[in-house]
Amino acid sequence: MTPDRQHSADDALLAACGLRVTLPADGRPGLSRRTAEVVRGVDLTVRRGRTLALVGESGAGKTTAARAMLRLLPEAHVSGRVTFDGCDVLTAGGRQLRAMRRRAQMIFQDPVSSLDPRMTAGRIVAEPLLAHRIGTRRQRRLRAAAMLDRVGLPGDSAARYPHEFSGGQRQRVAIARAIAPQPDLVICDEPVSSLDVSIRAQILNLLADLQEELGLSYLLIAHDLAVVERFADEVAVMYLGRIVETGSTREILRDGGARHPYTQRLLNSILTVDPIRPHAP
Amino acid sequence: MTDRTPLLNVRDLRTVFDTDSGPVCAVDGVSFAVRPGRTFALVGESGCGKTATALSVLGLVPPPGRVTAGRVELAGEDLLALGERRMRAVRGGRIGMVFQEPATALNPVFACGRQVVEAIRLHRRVGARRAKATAIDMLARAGVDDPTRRAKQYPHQLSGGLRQRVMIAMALAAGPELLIADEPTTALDVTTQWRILRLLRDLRNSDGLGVLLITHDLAVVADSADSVGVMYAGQLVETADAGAMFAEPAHPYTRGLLSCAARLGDGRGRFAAIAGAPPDLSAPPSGCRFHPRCPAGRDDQRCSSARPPLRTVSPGHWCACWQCSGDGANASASRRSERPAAQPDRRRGQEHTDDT
Repeated sequence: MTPDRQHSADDALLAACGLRVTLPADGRPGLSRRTAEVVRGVDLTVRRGRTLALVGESGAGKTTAARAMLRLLPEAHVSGRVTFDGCDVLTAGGRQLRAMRRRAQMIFQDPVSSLDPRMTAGRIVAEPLLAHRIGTRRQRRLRAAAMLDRVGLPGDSAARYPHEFSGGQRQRVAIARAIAPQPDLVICDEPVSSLDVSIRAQILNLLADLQEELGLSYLLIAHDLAVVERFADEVAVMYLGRIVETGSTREILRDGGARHPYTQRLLNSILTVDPIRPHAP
Repeated sequence: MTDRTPLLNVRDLRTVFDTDSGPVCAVDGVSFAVRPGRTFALVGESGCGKTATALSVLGLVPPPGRVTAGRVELAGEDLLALGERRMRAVRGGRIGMVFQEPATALNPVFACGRQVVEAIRLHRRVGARRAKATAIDMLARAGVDDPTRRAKQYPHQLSGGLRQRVMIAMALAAGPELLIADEPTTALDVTTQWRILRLLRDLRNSDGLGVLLITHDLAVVADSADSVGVMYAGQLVETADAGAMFAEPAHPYTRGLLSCAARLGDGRGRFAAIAGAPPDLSAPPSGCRFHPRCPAGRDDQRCSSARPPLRTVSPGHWCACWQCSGDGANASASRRSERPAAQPDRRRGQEHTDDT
């Protein structure tokens, strides 16, 4: 966990170069001529086994950029170059694309809406395995049970439905689903924002354990800089569709390395539980 | 009214929801006071009863919930004894309300200005033109730039921060004495949160408004509150001035919450966690409701058998815990600088079980 490991160019797992996303301004693809450029030339690199945090306010384009990098947006809206383990994501087809989809998973902010309420936890976790035709039915069931156990859920969880779990447990189900197909990269989009304070730490520690154990790389989308500082190796600050600042977490968040006025405003807006603090954004 | 007289005085409030699985006591004997020109924060996790407390104060507990005991006094007047018609004049009139999600609290089919006008005319006898002028004044006071133009816009045309300012303008429209703000900044960005909290503080200072702030975020409490009540599983477990609460938290739950709050400057590493999850209120744990998750007093029989009463830790600082000796010794031994609960627990079995 030394923050200043040496890295060369080829330890990049996911990299975006000049990524641009233009969406219809009224949110109806194909029906409107008015467009808005939401991601305006973004360069990002997620390194193997490391965590890159993408921070910025809502509407900055963080989620859109992440989705574009996994090719989850219509191709017509995305330009630039994205590579995943050396292969071009935006032009990949067939088998290559499927392999990439297995190796890059996502965890969403709200586990209530990201889990199908009509499926049991066991089926939810086995579904990505089914989609990628991994194992037999029995093997998938066993793997789902093992994953649910690994994320700290009780033994009878596989047969339970999402509404039977608490918020923190639902997020554990989402994590189990994400790690089931043995990914290399997990994009965590605000994974703890909807959770209670005392549960957040449990989930973040679980993610950290899994990273160490499975050698995962994370792209963490977050707005809580104190969390980012503890969890991420590197930070990219996004503002109005652009990366305005990027570097090691320590450099930007601790050692006064933040140069961009927006980063400084973010840092100054943090409230802390320490009663005495300097304050003036 | 002097500083000593509470504006809002809540005593032994009890709110019960009758559910299929039996009565659930969402608010269990909660007492606190909000003084004019001061902010009292109720803090706790979701389901701890903080919002149910606010709704009880407003007489808005949805069925099958009902207030079964206690007193709620606004400037000496018992609100629980008021009929619905008079209570309606109190809500929005003497008590302003701001909710978490301004996107759903505002009506999408009316322009913002019109909604503020409506709030004004419900409580004051003024003509349409006067009300409109007042509404624009209110929007300006709530920090809305170019209020005349904004008044004509619809909620979806405004950012989250602006929508919350419109909510605040509505809440202040009738000149209330008390403002109840339920998670007013939870849906907002950090930079916007900072500005909204600053606005609430300014209004409190300039108008002598009493504020009941409901939040799960201790950092918001540290920023804005004069005094704090920490709720756990429907009960108030600790209450004190904000300064004392943060300097010398007495209850193990409060200490746990404080150590969970990550601070900038802590560096890379693990997060301190409270093991387990808040209990199911239809079958709360016996004795102290926090005892199954509590790091202190594991072998003390009292913790699992009897509910600890709120006892004085130091003047103005109350704590409901058998492990607080009540003479202040425990409190000073648990100064936050030592952060007793902050040791990250690497034993997986302990921290990865948030089921109930």
